[in-house]
Parts: sequence; C-alpha cells; structure tokens
Amino acid sequence: MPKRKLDPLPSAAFQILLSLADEDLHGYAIMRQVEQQTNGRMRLGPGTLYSSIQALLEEGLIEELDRSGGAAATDERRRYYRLASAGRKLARSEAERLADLLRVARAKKILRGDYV
Amino acid sequence: MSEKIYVYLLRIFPSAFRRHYEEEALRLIRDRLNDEKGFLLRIRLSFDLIRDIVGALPQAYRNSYAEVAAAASLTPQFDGVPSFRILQKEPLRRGAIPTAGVLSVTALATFAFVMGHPTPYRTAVQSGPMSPIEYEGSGLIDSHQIVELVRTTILQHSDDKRLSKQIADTLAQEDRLGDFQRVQTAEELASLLTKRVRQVSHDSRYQVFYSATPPYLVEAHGRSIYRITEHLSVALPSL
Repeated sequence: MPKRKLDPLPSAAFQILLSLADEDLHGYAIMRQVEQQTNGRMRLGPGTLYSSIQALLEEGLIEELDRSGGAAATDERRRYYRLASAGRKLARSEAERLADLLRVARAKKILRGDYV
Repeated sequence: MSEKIYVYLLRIFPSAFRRHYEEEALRLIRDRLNDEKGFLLRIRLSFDLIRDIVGALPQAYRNSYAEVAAAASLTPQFDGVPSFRILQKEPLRRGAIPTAGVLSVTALATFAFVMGHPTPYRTAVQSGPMSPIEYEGSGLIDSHQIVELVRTTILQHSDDKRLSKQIADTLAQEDRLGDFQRVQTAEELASLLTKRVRQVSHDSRYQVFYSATPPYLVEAHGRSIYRITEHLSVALPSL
C-alpha cells in the first residue's frame, strides 16, 4: 500500500480539518478560523493553506463544494470546502492520539497550571 | 509585502498549483491587507508570507493536482449514507500506457499458459492415487470427507463411547497420514475403512458398506445401519 501524503498528519492539515468541523468555509475563513482556534499561534499563509487543502482533497478528507448549487447562499467568487466523513474520522483519530499524549504529559507532571 | 511581489514569488510554486489556486491565494492576501492595517500588522503579514512560501513548497510539490470531484451540490450530506459522484477527467500519468500494455500482455500470456496445460486436479484423476475418488452418481468425492462422515457416525451412534473414540482417533490419524488417499474407488475405500475399524475394535460387526445400485443396505444381524450418503452406510453393533 502506498504511503499516504498526510501520514503523519501535518499540524496545518489537522487544523484545517478542525476548522471545517462545524461548517463549510472558504479559504480565507478557514485561515481566520484556524487563527482563532489556535489563539493566534497559527496563521496559515496562502501557500500552506492551499497546498494543504489540495492534499486533503486528493486524500478525500475534504470536498470542494460545487458552486453551481445553492448559489444564493454562496459567494460565487470563492471556493467553499466541506469536511468529508473520512476527514472527520481522521480528525477524531488524531485528536484521540493527542489526548493520549496529553494524558502521558499529565502523568509525568510536565503540564502545570491551566493545562492540568 | 505588496501583492505584486507575492505574485512574483508564486512562480516558484508548481504551475499546477498556480493554475488551481493563484487567484484564491491573491484574494486571501488582499483580504488580509484589508483587515490588517497598521505598520506592525503589515510587517507581521510580510513575515507570514515569507515563512509561508518557504514552508509550503514541499507540500505543494508533493501534491498531484489531479482533478478532484467536487461535491455534487450544497445540499446537506449525512455520514454513512452512500452517494454517487461524477469523477472528472484526470490526465494519464506518464508511463501509464506502457505499464498497461505490459500488464495486458502478461495477463494474456498467463491465460494462454494456463489454458494450454491440464490442471493438477485433472492430472491426478488420470494418473493414479489421489484424494478424490470415483463415486457412483456423484462423479468424484474427497476420501477425507467420507472418512470424516464415518468417524462422525461412529462417534454419535456407537454404544461403546470409549471404543468409538479409539476408532475415530485411529481413522483420523491414518487419514492425516494419507492412508485413505491411495484408493481410487469408493468401494475400495469402504473395504479399507471396514478393515481398519475391525482391527481396532476386534468386532466383525463393524462394517462400512458401499453399494452402487439398490438395495443399498445389507441385513442387520444384531447391528444398526446408518446411511451416511446415498451409497455409503455404516453398520455398528447394537446391544
């Protein structure tokens, strides 16, 4: 089996999956959502954003919405993206992996203060 | 960093990336320029873009940029519900046609080779000892299946449980050693099974019958007869 391009899942790709968990977004909205959910620590530039989006599309983890449908509700100049079911599963799996890491870090008393 | 400079820098990205996303990328920069005004924010934007170009290049060159099917519409979708999509045209990879040609020739050659040679099964039938044996009305049947049927019948119906287990174990062991695969007909197999069972039990009332034509059963002189197939029966001593 060929190695997947997103294995391991890069942080940018994971953040994009998370940003699409609640609603369909266009590129700029994804960038802003990622900035918000990381408390400003990650601001995706256009290169990182769209190369990650392309990789996620190729892996079937997100879908680009057809702009011909529902045009009234959509800004036609922009491409909108939606989280696919495979992407949701992968995001859940990655979150669980990170949760396991967090448990270990807590057990080792590496985290303090608000994180604990 | 002005939009013009970024357009120039985008040239180091793959042409497919520019074809797909250049317009979107520039729109994103325009949006940020509109939203992030002020000296410090503009400096931050410039650093972000420089860092972005350097960091994004490897991923940009790893992508294949094959057309990915867009979702059919903006209508809601539900997880687990199958849906049909139309795959858009995707250019053939370099080398795809030669690879397909080689695979096709290999498949044809394999098919011709297989068709031109008898299968191992047919060879075994024609050349002698083998596992499948000639069986009236059914063509060929595996001797192992018959042995298993006889063992099961003896285990289930014999009154002497200890002896029946001993007989069944012996038959299973000899079956594993291939003793029953040397026979070629069901009649020979029935005789051999009878011989083995009697050797273990020291009781001549045990018998495995084979009969190609009716009547299939022999008279039961103090024995119970159990038919295990249309032509095969097992006689066990009855109390």
